[in-house]
Amino acid sequence: MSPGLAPKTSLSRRRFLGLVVGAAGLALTGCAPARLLLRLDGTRPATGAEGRDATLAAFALTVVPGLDPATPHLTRVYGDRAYPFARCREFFVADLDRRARRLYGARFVRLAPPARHAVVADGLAARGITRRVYDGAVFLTQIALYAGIYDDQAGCALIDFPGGGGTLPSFDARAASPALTFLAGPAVGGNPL
Amino acid sequence: MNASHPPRSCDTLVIGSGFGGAAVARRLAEAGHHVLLVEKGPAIDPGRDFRQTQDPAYFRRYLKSVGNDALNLTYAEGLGGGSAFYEMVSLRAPSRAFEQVDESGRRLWPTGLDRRTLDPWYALAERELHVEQIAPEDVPPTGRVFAHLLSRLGYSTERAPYAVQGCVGSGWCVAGCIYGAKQSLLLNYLPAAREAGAEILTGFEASRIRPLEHEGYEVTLAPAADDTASGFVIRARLVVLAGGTVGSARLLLRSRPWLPCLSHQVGRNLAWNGGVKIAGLLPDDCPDGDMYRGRSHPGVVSYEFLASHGVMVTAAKALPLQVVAGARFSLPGEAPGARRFGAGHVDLMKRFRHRALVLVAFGLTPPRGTLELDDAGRPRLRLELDRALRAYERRVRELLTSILERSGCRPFDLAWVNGEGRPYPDLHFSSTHHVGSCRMADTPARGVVDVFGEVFGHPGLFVADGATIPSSLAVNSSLTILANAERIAHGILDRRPALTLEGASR
Repeated sequence: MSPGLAPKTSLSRRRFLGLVVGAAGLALTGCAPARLLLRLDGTRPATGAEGRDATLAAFALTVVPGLDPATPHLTRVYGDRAYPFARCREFFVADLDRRARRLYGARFVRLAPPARHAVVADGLAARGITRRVYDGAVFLTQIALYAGIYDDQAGCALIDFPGGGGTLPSFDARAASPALTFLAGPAVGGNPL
Repeated sequence: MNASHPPRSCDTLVIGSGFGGAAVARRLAEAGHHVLLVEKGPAIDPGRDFRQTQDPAYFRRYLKSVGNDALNLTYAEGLGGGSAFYEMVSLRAPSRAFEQVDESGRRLWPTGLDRRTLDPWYALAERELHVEQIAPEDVPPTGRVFAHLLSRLGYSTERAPYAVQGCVGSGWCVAGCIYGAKQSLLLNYLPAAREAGAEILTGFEASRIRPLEHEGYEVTLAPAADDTASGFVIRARLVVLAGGTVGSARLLLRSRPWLPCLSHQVGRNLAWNGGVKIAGLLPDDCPDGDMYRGRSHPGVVSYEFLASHGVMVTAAKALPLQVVAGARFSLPGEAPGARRFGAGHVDLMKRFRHRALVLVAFGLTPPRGTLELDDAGRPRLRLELDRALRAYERRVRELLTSILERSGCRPFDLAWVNGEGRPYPDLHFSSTHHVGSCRMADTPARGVVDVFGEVFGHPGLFVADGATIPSSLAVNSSLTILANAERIAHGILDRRPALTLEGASR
């Protein structure tokens, strides 16, 4: 298992999607301020499912700009019931629009990219549960889109991540990296003494 | 692989199928014991179940964790334990790891057990896993860049040994190897155990151990996930716990009311290799390395700082999932949050394939962690971030930063994040190399099991996994756990060559 950022240690964080915004989601449905927020903003976005998805797509492209808007599964993660964020989705969309209207007088989806960026930054600067929801939304977006979690082969061309696949070429190390130069130390067969 | 009609009694019940349990199940079955091996997690068919993926849902099926703001431990629950998902690097622990002492100067390892006495068992484990030092031409780019930078500074590096045959360098070792090259226990120990007559039952968790009146134990097994399955009780003359550092301690703690002689050390003395990680951008004069190519582990390690800092240093492959789920990255001098999301973050992520290097150090940190049970019987972790631990982390982080800076790299500022993507409030460690919750010792006042893995005061009850290892190792722990399990298995056979529980039936 790998250390640090390597899969094994990072595996140590693999519970994150079980937890991502989990506490936020639970708190959102369980605590009084959250219920208040839900009531104030409505549990259903005023624009319906189509408008909701457009808002979430705009959010995804704000978090990961440069991504093709036609990227498959662009907004799938927000409604994926495997992750607790699905319970926050309606609130989150409503809050994006509420902040957009407060800051720029228009719905989030109608804003230019710099204004969308400012709205998301505003949400991340909020306090308490709202901030946790925005933290989780950004976190989940980056994981889903950079790592290509819904298509093992897709990867993410934007960041040059090729994804998985059964026909990857064998080692091309020598052609693409420094010559292997060792200064051997006190070891036997690669093991420490 | 599941036993279709699990027996209600057996000679030896092995609980857990990782590096500890697989070895014991195999050796005892080969010696003629009627062995039932029980695994809490699901069965795994390497040809069907492994994927080349970054999908967290896939990993969540097999990998679990326990932790808090100070320390997070990840462990596997699935047939073969961690062997299905490890990086295959198979290192013997350094001699100095066995000579560590506690605050009163007493050796952590039991009398007579050290690197020299464990070497024959290491050799056996290496043969069984087909461990070989990686060939120079197979060292992945991450390791090449790492070796290149260290050699420029005059530091030594070594090619690491791996449990692999026919590696094609696809780079997805930790997601399971779809080519069958990784020598997980699914390819050697477990089939051999079954061939020798061991029965294997997956999806059942041992929830309680109770001694029988004269000899042996009664173990309650409950379905781990399938609500339609029924639990049952099994009697065994020998019971071998191998559920890992978390699982074995949890089971013993749950069973304490029925095990009156159990040492108060159960759950204590947890060690975790003190992993410290940093990352940075490569200097312009360093050629590109395609860090996504080649096996997951970089192929190269350095023991240069074992004597001076008590650490082994290596590099790590950082795929997008690991980068995002691991930390928030920024460059020194930038406004905080400048790269939290948006174009700045994309720019940073673009650099990880060719221009970023992650350094990792594993250290000989003292066994200070504790596992307890909460009111619901779930494991809970405690670790005090004391002055010595903070000093260790700072000293090692400064060492790694110095290596990067003197190599011309530009180190990132890192904020490690929790499962919600939020930075931890203080120093944080994470590990897959946790050991020691039921450590071997000379006396029950100092540990839970004797040097042969037998629980003090409870004859016939053994622990054979990482929980028995008394100290941090400063290297990946799998080979040491397997070697020690082989030693324990052969010790059981030396002391109890023939066993038949009266009334045992298959």
